Amino acid sequence: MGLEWQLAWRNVWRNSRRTALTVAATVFAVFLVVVFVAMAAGVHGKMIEDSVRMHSGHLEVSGKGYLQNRTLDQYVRLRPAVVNALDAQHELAGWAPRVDGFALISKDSATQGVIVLGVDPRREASVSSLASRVEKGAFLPSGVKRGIVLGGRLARNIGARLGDELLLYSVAYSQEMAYELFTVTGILKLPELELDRRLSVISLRDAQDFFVYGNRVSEIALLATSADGLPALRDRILHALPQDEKAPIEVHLWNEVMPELEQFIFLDDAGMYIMLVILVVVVAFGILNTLLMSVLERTRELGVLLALGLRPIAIFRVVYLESLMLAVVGLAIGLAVALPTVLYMQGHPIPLGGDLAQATAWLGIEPIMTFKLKPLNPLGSVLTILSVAVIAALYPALKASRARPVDALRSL
Amino acid sequence: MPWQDFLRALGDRLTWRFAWRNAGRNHRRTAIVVSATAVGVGGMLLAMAINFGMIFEMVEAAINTEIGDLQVHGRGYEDKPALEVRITPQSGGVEKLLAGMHGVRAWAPRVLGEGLVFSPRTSVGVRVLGVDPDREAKVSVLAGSIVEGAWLDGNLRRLVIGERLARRLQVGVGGKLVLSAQALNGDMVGEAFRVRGLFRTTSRALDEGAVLMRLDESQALLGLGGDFSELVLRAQPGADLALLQKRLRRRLGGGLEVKTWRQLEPVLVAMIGMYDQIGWIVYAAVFVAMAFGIANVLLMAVYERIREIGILTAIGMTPSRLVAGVAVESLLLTLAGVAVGFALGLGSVWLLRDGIDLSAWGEGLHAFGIPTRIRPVIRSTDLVAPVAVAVVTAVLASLWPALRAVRIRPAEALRHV
Amino acid sequence: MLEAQAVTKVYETRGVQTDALRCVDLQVGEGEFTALAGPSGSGKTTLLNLFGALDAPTSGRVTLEGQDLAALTASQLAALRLAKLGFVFQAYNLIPVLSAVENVQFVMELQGVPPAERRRRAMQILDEVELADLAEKRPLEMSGGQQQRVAVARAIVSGPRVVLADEPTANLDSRTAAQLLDLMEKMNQERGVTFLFSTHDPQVIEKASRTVRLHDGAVCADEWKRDL
Repeated sequence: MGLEWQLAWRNVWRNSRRTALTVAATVFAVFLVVVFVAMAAGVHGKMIEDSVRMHSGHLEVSGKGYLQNRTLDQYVRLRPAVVNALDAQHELAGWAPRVDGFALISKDSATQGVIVLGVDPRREASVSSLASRVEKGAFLPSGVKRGIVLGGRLARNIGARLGDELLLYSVAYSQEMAYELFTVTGILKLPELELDRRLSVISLRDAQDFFVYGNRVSEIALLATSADGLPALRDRILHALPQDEKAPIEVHLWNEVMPELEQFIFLDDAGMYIMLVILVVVVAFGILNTLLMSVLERTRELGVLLALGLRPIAIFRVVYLESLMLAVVGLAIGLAVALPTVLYMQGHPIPLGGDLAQATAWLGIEPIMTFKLKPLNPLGSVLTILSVAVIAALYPALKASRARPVDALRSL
Repeated sequence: MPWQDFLRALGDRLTWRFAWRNAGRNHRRTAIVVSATAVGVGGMLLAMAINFGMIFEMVEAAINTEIGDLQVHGRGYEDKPALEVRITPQSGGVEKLLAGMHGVRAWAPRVLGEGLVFSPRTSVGVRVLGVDPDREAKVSVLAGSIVEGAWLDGNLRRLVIGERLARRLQVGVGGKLVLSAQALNGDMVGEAFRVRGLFRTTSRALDEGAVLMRLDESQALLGLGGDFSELVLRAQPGADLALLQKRLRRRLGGGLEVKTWRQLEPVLVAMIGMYDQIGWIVYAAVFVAMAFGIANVLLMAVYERIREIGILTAIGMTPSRLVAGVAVESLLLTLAGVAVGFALGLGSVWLLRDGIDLSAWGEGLHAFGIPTRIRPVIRSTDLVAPVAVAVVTAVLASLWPALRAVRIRPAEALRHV
Repeated sequence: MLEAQAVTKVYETRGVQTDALRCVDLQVGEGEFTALAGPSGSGKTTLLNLFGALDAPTSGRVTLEGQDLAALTASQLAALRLAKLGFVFQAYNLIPVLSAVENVQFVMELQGVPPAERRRRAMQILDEVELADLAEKRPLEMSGGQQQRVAVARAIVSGPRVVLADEPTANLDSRTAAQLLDLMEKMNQERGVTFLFSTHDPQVIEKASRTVRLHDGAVCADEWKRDL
């Protein structure tokens, strides 16, 4: 057996230029695969983190049917037992109760339909970056009664400025008409167009008053300390929260709240993997060709080996090993180059420019390209490339094993 | 090496005939080069199609669902999308405005407002869209997206709403809704409607938060008279939108603004750009990989025929002819490979025309009713690059071994076996 | 030892039939130093191939020590070659990626001889052929004559019953060829290994104790040289 390994290894290095070219192609492919997968993981991870901070949190506590309906009729009662249970959770970095409603807002004759978000400023800051997006004024300062903060475009559309009084008009939980005057304390700059045009934020207390909601809230956004192990965390929190017979509580994962984000990531990943597989196949084909050529030029030598008594199956093994060795060498070097590069890029994200910067800004993400090396990444690349190599190597090996001893005596 | 001799050799029929025969001589080697090129080209075409296909669906959906190819608004609408900023059609109406514009396939006017809609159970804030039922059917898929009930017709006091909105309001076809909105003059107006139909589109925002009614009804309700908020235009397939935009701008004058879908959805445009950029990197990679393979094989081919080259040189074939011969042979092989690659690539795109179904992996998403397919789409511009790059790569990859072939001394070569 | 009975071999390439051997009967006994001689196309190489279990006859029987070769599978033939036959080809005998001593050890390794033993035997025979100092060199680093000597060493060291040599001297100058033939004769006499050549080299024919002449696929002469 050792003989076969020895022959295979030496054969690989026989024509160093050819081997170098083939290995270079493999290294190139491995490098690209590892870097691209890391880039996708990084970018998608950041998308999730940013979206999660802006909207639902990693987990969302809400009433039954809230995800589908999103009206005031689905709520969670924020009783002290619930508050304590959430505060006691060590795996949460923060939690933010919210009332999510809508209203018509008007200043003078200008009216606009808006989202009314009632938040607890202190708790909200532990989950989302909303408060930090204030461009002018302040985010619901405690001294001001009935303060309201508007999205930038919304303010501009209705001509509202700091200190202006606006009328909010809607339907309360009790089915009565709700109307109240609010004072503009701050103006936000939100990257997402729709939010910037439609978001108005008031304090949780004011929202509960306005909608006659009592101690109810529409949702509680939870921010976990780590994005891993969320399903298990969800189960733990569900058990930790006190049951409410009148208003059953559900805990959802971010991807149940924002399935479109998950879909985008999923399809994006799928498309990328397909393209990488195509790349690997092309490279494997190149290796296969190289090996095929080298087998063809060794017909006489193979004939000699057979004449000396080497079995056809042994020749199959030798040539097969050659292919695998080529692949493994390429893999090893490729990983040796790619892994440090990705690790470096993980610590030094690339700032984006031009089109990409625009796209990410509109989607509400920082314009940097982040990389994340998950353990699955190099493992996946190795497995993929090896599987393809294992299959591709069959043909040249098969061809080699079909050589006939007579060929050893081919006349010149 | 005299270049004129090389070029002359390239043009010589004999060189081409020789190259053709040589290519047919060693079937295995020919097969290998052709298949390597074919796999590279085919692979690249498929990769391009998949890359673009991912974003194409998004774009198509947006254009067909709401945006259209071009939109016209009153001046200042982008900054202030309010009811006051409206289009007042002159005498003769829109038909007169668009007379002779052959690039325009269809157009539809819309009223865009805001309001609250009340069902017996609850209430929701919504966008109000007033549409001309017949014209709207020609510019968007809304009319064709009805999943329950029917599209708007001559009946008044009818609303068509999104399926998700119906669920939020807990109302079905035939159910009663009250719409409350602010009219042009600032008064709050209200009216009772019956739900005529439910629609389902790819836009969650539309499905969850929009109600559609007849254009004339919305104009009456909001006190707009004959005015409307926006004009949606669909262009003839393959029309030059930029040109159309320019002509429209000139025709319509300064009181109105005309925008193409690209200007209306800069996010989409930026995303296309992003995908293209990433795509190019992968294509380049595929070609580099292919080039390595081809170079290897061609080098081998020269090595195999060293003896023959020695003989040819001995009997008087000039180096430049030799190089020309090798180059032409590689070119022929590559072109054959490109042709096969095209067939492979386009063939697989056609085979996958219904999309690659990923629902087995995306189970969670499927449960949400979210589509999990990738459909490959080829742009005609995508076809040029693979051919060009393949040919250039192959010729370059063949020149190096050809130049090496030339440096072989005849005597040495003849001793070779 | 080796026997061919009414052996016929017909080659067919691209529709063209060639009669390489026509109804040949031949027996080669133990310890012989025999040459199959004739011009190219006479069938000598073909006959050698058949005796070496490298090819099968179109009709007729080939036996080695009574064993009918046609009855064996490819695997069994390989085992047979490994145990009982040695080969020396005209050129390219050696495996390019192995050194001389490794080449010599190759067949023994296939036979399962333990490392220490096969190294010892390899060095011993290299010594006998006077190439011990080239033991670690690769074929590319040796002259044609040296390569052939290593090939003979390899053919002998595995202990075959017969060594089949196809034009072993064709690429060598006369002096080197003579040296090679002396070596093979020594092996034949000292170890009793049968040598069967296919050749048109007069030097080989001169050295052989029996010459079987072939012409157009048939035996036309069978001359024994008398011992002097």
